[in-house]
Amino acid sequence: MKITDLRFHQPAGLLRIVTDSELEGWCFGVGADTAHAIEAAFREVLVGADPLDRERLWHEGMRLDRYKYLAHGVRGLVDVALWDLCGKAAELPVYRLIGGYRDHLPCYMSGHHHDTTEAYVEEALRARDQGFAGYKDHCHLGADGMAGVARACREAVGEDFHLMHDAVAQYILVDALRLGRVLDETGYYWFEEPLKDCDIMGLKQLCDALDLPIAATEYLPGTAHATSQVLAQGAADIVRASVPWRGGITDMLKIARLAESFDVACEITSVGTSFGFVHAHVIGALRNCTFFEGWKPGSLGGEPYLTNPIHIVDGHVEVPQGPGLGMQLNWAAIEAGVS
Amino acid sequence: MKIEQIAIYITEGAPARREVGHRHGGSIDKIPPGLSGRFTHTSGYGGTPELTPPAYVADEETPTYSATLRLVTDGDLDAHTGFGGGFSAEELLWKGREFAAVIAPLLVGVDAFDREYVWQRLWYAQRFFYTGRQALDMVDRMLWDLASRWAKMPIYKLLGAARERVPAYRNIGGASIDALVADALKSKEQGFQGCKDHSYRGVQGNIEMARALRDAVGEEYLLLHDPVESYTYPEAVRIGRELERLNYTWIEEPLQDYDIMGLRKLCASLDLPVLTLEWIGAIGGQPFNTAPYLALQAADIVRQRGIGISGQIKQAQLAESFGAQVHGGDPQVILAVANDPLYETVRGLAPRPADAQLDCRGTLVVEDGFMSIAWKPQRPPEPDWDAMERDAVSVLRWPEA
Repeated sequence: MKITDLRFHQPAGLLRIVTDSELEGWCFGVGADTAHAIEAAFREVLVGADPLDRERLWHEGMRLDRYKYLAHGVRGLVDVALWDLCGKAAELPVYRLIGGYRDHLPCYMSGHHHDTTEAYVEEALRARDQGFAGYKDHCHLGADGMAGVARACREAVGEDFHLMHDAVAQYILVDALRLGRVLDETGYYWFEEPLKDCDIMGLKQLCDALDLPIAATEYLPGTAHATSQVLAQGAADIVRASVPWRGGITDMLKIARLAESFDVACEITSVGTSFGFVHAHVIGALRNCTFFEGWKPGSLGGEPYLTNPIHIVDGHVEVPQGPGLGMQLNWAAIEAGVS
Repeated sequence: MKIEQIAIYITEGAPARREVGHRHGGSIDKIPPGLSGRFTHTSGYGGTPELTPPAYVADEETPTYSATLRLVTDGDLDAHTGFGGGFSAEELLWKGREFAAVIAPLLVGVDAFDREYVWQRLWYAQRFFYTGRQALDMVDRMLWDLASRWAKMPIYKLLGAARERVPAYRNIGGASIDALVADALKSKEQGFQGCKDHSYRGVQGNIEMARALRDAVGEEYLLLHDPVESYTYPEAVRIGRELERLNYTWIEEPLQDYDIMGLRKLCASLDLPVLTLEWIGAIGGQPFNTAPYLALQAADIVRQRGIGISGQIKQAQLAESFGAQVHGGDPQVILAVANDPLYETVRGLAPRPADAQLDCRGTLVVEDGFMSIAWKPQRPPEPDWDAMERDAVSVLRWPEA
């Protein structure tokens, strides 16, 4: 099998890797700028290549990343489409091409920023009542504001519900440490991105000082190569991976396997590219990821381009059964806006 | 495709004369010149052949038996593998019963493509049932083989191929330095791109050997030294410097795998890459053992050891993330990763078979200085299970129904 063409559809944001067989590989989330970058950098590497040579093409992608100064998040989308294609060629869903671990994924609810403590409490209770396994805030009220949120949320949801705090790098070390003590007291499940991912010494100090796990590396460049340095320094208790912010499916697997060998969880970030299809398959092949991260019950999106969107039902996601990623496309809707 | 049942067939083979002897010959004695007080295998320097113990050979031929393990699925294809052989059908049956009692309940009811679930389950079975790494290694390979036949492509393509061939070297042997040199020249004639000794003649003896080898094979030929944990730290530094001058490719197991601080210091001192972790990997615990070695920079290259195809990929990618290499993986894994630099053979050349003999599993090819896998997208025929059933002296099933 040989790749013969790359095609893009806007505004659907669809990348199609077309071959000399009847099979194609797909990835959503490819906007006009990204499509232009893929066309300019990857066409000469991909056309004529055997799509089963994913690892070689991953290394080519790493080379292009450096030499063509690709934007963070271009390379991984090509990798996703190759995995979709290889799953179809093997007549297997991607998670079982990798090697399946499970097909029923517990979800936690990722919340929004709010101005009042009450709004966080309300959101946490809603997550619990909707069957989610946990609730993660994105609270930007500062360390002391968040301390109040943590105490109020814990009191409201009880002891048996997972609470996580995602600071999105808003603190300096001393504030993170002070808040971390409160999160320890209130039994938080993890403390995410307390500092910038590049502040390895600060992250290490937090990992050493606090009991609760520190989650980092969501937006760290350098794929598994950078993650290894963080783990070797003891600067993360949980690592993060996603498409497209850490690369493609290949990168997520490398990062998760690296983390596994350090007995560290790799928690996959958010719904991800292609409306949850990519992350569902990857989590379906990993032991060391606890949850799928969603925003609300119901569809993860993709309509009208997808006819079979993934749904969060009773706090869980079912891994789509392929072949490939298992996306079924509504060509009429996609082609209505061909570019 | 669910695994519904395990079946083990014990079949009778041609009669043979049973024998048992020393697997390697030689003895265990002090490393020359004996000053370090450490011990090694004497065959590496031709010592004490008179101590080779006797072999025992039976007076007459008796029947042989082999066991085949089959994971029966509800689909068109089953997983299967050779499960051992020997002279006692009864002992093989007991081995099968042990598998049925301990491992089979962990497999039945599981989807045959859920390899990660099986890998994790059998990983923890090592701890709770003390199963060793062998069951995990065997079952993981069976499931990858099944996936390969399902998809009609070899495992390295399922994994995502990184390359189609890698340079090959051959292990050389001989009781004297002259014999080693002759074997090195033979490997060069056969087209191998390098050769590796297993020489335990102490630091002075090995320096002499390394100079003789470099002199004989020329400047460009790849030379690798494997003293199998026979040096003290100062000796390892001393020979390491000489091997750097002689343009060696790596030094393998210079110190005990357990000497993590010594290895760390050696990696820091030498430019020559240091390969470790064969012994620890043979015992088990990979890829988890490798992580602290890499974090402490106590290894430049890490030996792959039987943890299935899935485990080897984990270990290779762990090493890759530290910019380190692995060595000695399954050929299918070697072609699917970019950081296993050379293929090692003890067997020599393996010419490409005729196209008619190829199938989707692939056949190992070692020729023209490279290892590759020849294949075509066609399933091999399934074993004739009815005939196996009919001809078996014993059939074991779990569950029985």
